[in-house]
Formats: sequence, C-alpha cells, structure tokens
Amino acid sequence: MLTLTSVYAGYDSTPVLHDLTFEVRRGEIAAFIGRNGVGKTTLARTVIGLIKPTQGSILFADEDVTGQPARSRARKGVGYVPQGRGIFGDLTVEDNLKLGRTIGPLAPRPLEYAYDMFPILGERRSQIAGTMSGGQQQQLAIARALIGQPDLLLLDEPSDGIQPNIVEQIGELCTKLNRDEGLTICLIEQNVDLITSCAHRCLLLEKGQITQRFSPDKLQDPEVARMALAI
Amino acid sequence: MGDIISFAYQYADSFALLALSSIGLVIIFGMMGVINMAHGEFMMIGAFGASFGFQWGLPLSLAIVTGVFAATAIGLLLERLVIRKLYGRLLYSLVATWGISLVLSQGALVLIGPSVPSLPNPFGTVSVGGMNFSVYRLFLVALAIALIVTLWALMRFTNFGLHARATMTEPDMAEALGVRTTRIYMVTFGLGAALAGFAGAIFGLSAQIQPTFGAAYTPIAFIVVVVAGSRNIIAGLLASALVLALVKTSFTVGFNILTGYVAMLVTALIIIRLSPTGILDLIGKLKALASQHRSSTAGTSAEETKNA
Repeated sequence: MLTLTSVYAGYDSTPVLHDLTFEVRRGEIAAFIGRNGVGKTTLARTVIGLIKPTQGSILFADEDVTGQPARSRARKGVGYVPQGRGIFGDLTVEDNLKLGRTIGPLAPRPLEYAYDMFPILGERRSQIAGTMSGGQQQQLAIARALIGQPDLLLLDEPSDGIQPNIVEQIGELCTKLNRDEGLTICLIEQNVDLITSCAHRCLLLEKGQITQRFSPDKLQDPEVARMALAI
Repeated sequence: MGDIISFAYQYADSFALLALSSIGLVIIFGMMGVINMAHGEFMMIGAFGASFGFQWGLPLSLAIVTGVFAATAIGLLLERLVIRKLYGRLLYSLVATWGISLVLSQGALVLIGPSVPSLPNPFGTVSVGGMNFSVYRLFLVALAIALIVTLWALMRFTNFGLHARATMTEPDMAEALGVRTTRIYMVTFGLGAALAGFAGAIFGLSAQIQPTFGAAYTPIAFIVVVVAGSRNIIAGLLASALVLALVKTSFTVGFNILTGYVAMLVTALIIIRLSPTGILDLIGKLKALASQHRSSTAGTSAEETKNA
C-alpha cells in the first residue's frame, strides 16, 4: 500500500529523514513510534506530500507519487490528520467535514457518516470549529479525513492533548475501520495504550531512520517503552 | 423632509462609490494578502475594454462585459507570471504590483494615447418630491448591494467559496485535503481583477477614461479594505463602506467635499488605531464593553435596591 525507499527529507537546510525505508501492507495498522525530534511529523508530512524528499521514492498503491503534490496524493486516497488537528477554526463543523470530500477517488460519504461516528459533531454541525474542545476537534479531523473514503489513513499523534476516553474511542474506531472496511492506517503515536489497543506492528524511528520493527506487545516491557517513547 | 431624502441619497451614493471601488481589492488584499497596487489599473483596463467594445459597435452591456473580460484576462496572466511567486511575501507583492501598475498605466499611455472616447451614459434623472436624482447614481447603489450579496453567496454556498476560505486560512491543510490551491489562488485573483474591471467599466460611464483613470479610486479602495480587515471580508467591506460613507457624507454636507474626504481618512486612522484587525473586531469590542457596562449597571441597581 505504501512503500518508502531510501527517502531523504527535511526543512530547508536541516535534513531530518535519512535513508528512510519501510513498507506498510494493505489492511495493516502500522504504528510509527520514537522519541521527540526523531522525525515522526516530518515522516507524515513527507508521506502526504507537504515536504518534498530530496532523494528516494514514495510508492502509494503501486504508483510512484514522489513528485506529486499533496492534493494529488489526497485525491488518490491518502487521508491525513495532522498533529495539532489542522481544523479550520473559522469554519463551521459542517464546512470542515465538507472539505474532506475531495479526498479519495471514490464518491464521498454523506456527512451523516461522520455524525453517526461522532454524534457530538452532528449536535454541533453549525458551531464554529475553533470554539470546540481539543477532543472534539480531533474527532472532527478524523471524521473529515474519513468522509472521502481514503485507502490509507495517516494519523499524526491523535492522542496529543486529548482526554483518555476520546483516545480510547479513537483506538476502537481504528480497529473497527481496519476490521470492517480494510482501512490501512499509519499511526504516528507515543501513547502506549492507543498503540497496543489497535496497532499490528511497531516501526521504531530513530534519527530519521526505521531501526527496529516489533510487535506492539513489546511496549508492555518498561525497558522497551522507555527506549521507544518519550516517557 | 427634503434634507433627509437628499442626505440619504448622498449617503447611498458615497456607499456605492466606496463599495464598488474596493470590491475587487477586498478579494485580492483582504483574502489573499496581496497588496495589489495595480488595482486601479485593473479598473482602467475595464474602462478601456468597455470603451473599445463600444467603439467596435457592441451594445453598451456587451461592451462592459468586454471590459470585464479584458481585466480578468490580464489579471489571470499576471497571477501566473508574477503574483504566484509572491504569495505570503507582503512587501514583495507591494513592489511587484506597483511596478505592474506603472507598466500598465504608462503602457496604455504610449500604446493607446492620453484618452479614449467616453462611454455614453444611458441613464436619465428621476424626480421625487420636486428633487431630481440621477438614475445612474441609484443604479450604482443597487449594483453595489447586488455585488456584495452575490459575493457573499458565492463564498458561503459554493464549493469554490468553501475551498477559497480554507485555502486562504490554512493553505497546507487545504492542499493535504485535495483542494487544488494553486487553481483557487488563480481564480480568486482573477475574480478580484474581474470585479475591479467591472467597477472601472461602470465608473467609465460618468468619468473621462484615461490611463490614470484608476488612480482616483485606488486610495479610496485601500482605505475601505484596511478598515474592513480580513476576518470576514464581506461583512467587513459592508461595515467599512457604511461607516466611512456616513462620515464622508456628513462632513461633505456640513462643510465641503474636501473636508468629507479628510474626515473619512481620519476616521479610518482612528478605527485602525483602536482595532488594527479591522472594523468588525472594533464592533465586537464595543459590544463587549456595552454588555459589560449593562451588567455592571444592573449589579449596582440590584445592590442599591438591596441596601434600600
């Protein structure tokens, strides 16, 4: 589904990803873990196309998308939920959801799909999104990405600053979408509970490279968790 | 009664002048953050295009459409060649568009000459209560209101409007959701140029059309747009034009036209000083102050009743 081969990327003169290579298989939930500053968000922004790699290749659904802009990747089926949520704070909940309709090659789902998934969004459909709580904004960001029926969901630290019950809900949702719809998910995360609740595999990012691949169960070992996460 | 009607007529006329002069700029500067010093030249192109269209034998309405097409085409071309590289670089856009404005106005002078034939004004006058009013001026008022309502509906109810609002606030996120942001920028700039061209063609019905035609409107447009702010450009434009027109008309009626313009400029400076983000935020602050005052007054009355 997603293959990165020897990718180098970063910000202007600061390289962050070095010779990054990995593959995420169709129907898999892959958790990308690592301490702060190892390049997790850069990885997400490179996959969606907001950062252009200086070397290497990115294949999505067997198509080389390395030179393509973010809008093309989104339209091909990459749903992106950035760190910080990326909500349009001046627009209503409904308008934010409508913006997800350009994702993916298939016809978008009706907005009711989002309201069924997160009823609070239905209750607040006319509310200005910037006035909602962090957890509600995260739900909105996830629902917006799913409206367009993506093949790959890219979640960048969805638990960041969110209350535990919503984090749990996100984990359950990932498992359900993966099981029922075969959705492939790249979960960039540091929250052990969320990772162990839904991920099939962990890929450890260190200094811009994948250095280890292991089962999420291993994070129950405090030694491994300390090495892999910012705890 | 006659004075009130006369004042209302002059107020509506000032509002129309301010709104139509600035409606193209509010899109390009208010929404896109591009300080478009060539705004007046887009108006000039609209007027020139309409004049040429009329000389070629087109009916007046189609001649005006010709002017709009000319301004839009040149706006789109400039966006692709120059402006696109300057998004997010405020001062660069100022210098570049200033250069463009000089090239356009001087180019028109060299290639076309100091003036072109004026457009005929088909509107007459209407008499109400013994007072004569120009139908053209009333038409400008109706046109300004119609354009503001249309622009609001475009931004509020269409996919283009939604994508444009998203692109102007968070371009990266809009792009990551599949929005064709470069196309949105181009169409938005073209829309701003088209509206400027339209205003130019319409003003060309009553003014001499020459290469410096737009220079009379550019400062007014900037004053209105800066006061309007960028939080909600349509509501901001409406509030800005209504308030500034009221000041301009009051001082023009009370003193003279020059005092009217000076008072408008001073009012704009005061509004920007009190609320650098525009008139809507100033209105918000005043509302908050009023509600604070009301609740404190209510609290004092309750206290006095209790003590009594």
